[in-house]
Amino acid sequence: MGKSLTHKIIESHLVDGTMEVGEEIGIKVDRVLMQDATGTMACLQFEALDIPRIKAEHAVIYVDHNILQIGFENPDDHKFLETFAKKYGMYFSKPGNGICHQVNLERFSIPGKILLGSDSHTPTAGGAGMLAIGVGGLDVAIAMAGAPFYTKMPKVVGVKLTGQLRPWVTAKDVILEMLRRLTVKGGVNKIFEYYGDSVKTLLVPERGTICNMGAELGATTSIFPSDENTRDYFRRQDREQNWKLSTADPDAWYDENIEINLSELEPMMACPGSPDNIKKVSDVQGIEVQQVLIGSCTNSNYQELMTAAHLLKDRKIHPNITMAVNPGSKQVLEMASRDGAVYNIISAGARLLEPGCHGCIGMGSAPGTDWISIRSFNRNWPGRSGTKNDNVYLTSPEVCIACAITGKIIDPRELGDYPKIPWPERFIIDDSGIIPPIDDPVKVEVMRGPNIKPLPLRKPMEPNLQGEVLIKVDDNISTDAIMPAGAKILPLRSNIPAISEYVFYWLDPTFAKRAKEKNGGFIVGGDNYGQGSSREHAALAPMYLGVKGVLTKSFARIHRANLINFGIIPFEFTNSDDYYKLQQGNAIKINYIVNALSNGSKSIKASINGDVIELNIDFSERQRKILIEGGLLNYIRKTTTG
Amino acid sequence: MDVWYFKCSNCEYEKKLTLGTYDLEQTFTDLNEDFVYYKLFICKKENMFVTGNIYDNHFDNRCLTDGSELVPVEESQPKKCPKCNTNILVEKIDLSEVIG
Repeated sequence: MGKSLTHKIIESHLVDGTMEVGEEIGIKVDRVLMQDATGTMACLQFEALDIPRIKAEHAVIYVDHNILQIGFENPDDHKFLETFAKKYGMYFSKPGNGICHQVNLERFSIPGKILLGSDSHTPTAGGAGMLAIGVGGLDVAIAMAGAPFYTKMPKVVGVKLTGQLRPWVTAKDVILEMLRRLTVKGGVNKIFEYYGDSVKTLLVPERGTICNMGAELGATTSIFPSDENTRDYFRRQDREQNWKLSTADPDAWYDENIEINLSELEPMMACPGSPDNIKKVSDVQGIEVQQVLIGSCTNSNYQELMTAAHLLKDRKIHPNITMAVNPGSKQVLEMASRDGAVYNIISAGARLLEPGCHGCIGMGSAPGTDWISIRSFNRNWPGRSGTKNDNVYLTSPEVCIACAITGKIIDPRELGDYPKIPWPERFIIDDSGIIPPIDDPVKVEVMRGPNIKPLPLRKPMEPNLQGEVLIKVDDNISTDAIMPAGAKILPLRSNIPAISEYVFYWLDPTFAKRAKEKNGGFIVGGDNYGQGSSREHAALAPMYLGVKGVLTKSFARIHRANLINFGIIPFEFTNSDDYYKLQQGNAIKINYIVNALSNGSKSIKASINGDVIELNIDFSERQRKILIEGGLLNYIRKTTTG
Repeated sequence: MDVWYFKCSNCEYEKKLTLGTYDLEQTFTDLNEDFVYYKLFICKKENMFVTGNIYDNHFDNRCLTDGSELVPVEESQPKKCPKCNTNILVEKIDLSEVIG
């Protein structure tokens, strides 16, 4: 049996583990991508590693999320990122240069390479044959230091494409069909690899659209082969030297198989509530629409903008509709201007926004009360538009235009012949919006606004742990309860000392003060401690307050990993009834913890007010090393610098 | 997202829970894993309110403590105590002055 493309790429980057499904593997990361919403914390984490220059072969920071500058915080963040990139050897993509995934596809994608990005839609680069994975900021910081990325080996699902898309049916409908079949939970711990004769009917940006919304399947990533179409795209981007053939073996074996006949697809949309709430457009047509938005990292490439503009030519959008278009990049906008699309869009009555994420992340363009909003975006979870009880439909740009013209949901096939937009012989190449790093980092001073503070680190684990139970909470405590957010708190996310004041604020406003007075201590929790959001701050801020360990009946899996990463030991009661023995203020002593972690002990005794209980410490070898060093950053600093 | 306080004067059952989904200023990142929707359920095995993050790809409408099937609470504000089924006090906690 031959190998899939995914297996080939992972195998060529494997530095630890074996490629058995579910086993932990460590893979070398070639390239790194960050955006501004997550980038500041990732950079602060990298800075804490005390490494003079990045060790990944290439890294880019893009400003595309917080591009509205309504206070000092966002421009301060941008200047910090710009100077940080210069100093540490990264590229910096300025506000207005475009959405990270679109620009990456155009200017930095390389087939066969592994890309790690601090954004869910990083897999877009799979359209150009990269194995591109969206992760948290800490993972990106570690990758910039040249350390491997650890994950569980996912299943590789082969998606065979047959047939050909009919007019008015688009790449968006392919991924909506995947969501219809598999749901938003159907891609967990899986990589979707597209193959088959019909792959060649899809252009690289179309492949990017399909890979982009693989994130909504919950997939680790999605990938297309790099073929002659890819080569052609690279040639038109004046980067043919970056292209290489990268495909699966003809007899490749996959863990699971799916087949999609493109000829059978119809225009579809994800109805409000979830990206997997899929219906044919023809089944929901007639509903009156108030807002139409075209753009986002899913559907904002040149071809799509030109198609939209062609359909709007000599037409006006319906008087009841407010419509906005955000191009994916400066390149797209520049070419759309040159080729007449901007005129058509503006003349039709739509608003043209600068390249960026905009309404897709709720940065403007929130719909009005009870509005029906039709978007070429990727998410429609309730409230994500910025309006509670919103009604957001996700669909292709073509359906968006049909709705904008008629004022209601309508099958775009009713607009007549599908326009044929010629593929540009050459894209406009102007990388002036991308600032390269400078050779002499000493000359660069990293500029920090008052709201950006260096990341505090924990010291290596003490041989013996002791302290008080600072708080006892019950089952299902969420990371939102541990580290709440809100308009006053979120701006402090790059200032750990300040944000730590709000730890457990909903449950006990005195927690932070007490924790500092007692020089840290322990948290006691029930079952499923740390459920909900993956936010790292729910581990980082308690670490800053001196929390040494959390004792629970059980942990939510992501938060448990975050606690380990920041040097807080997640203990589980061997006997869950011991939870009831503990009260706030009890003294806890756990002797020889470093010894126990070093020698692979599965449990350890803890002394509580004279009583003795047993705690589970069943960690992997790597997790033990991380805990002994006081967290992942300390561990990486030690292993990369000796 | 809101914090709700439940208190039963009959059996003294008491709980504080976060429910709903984020306002935009409550997300730290733009990663899918950062988004949540906490829905209220009753665990019939333990007769108590629990929340489940229905966006979690691993959440399958089962109690994360005991594995039993959870009963969704459809009303925005439940009126009965899950332990003794008498009327229960339900209050939304206003934290706007603190967290914005």
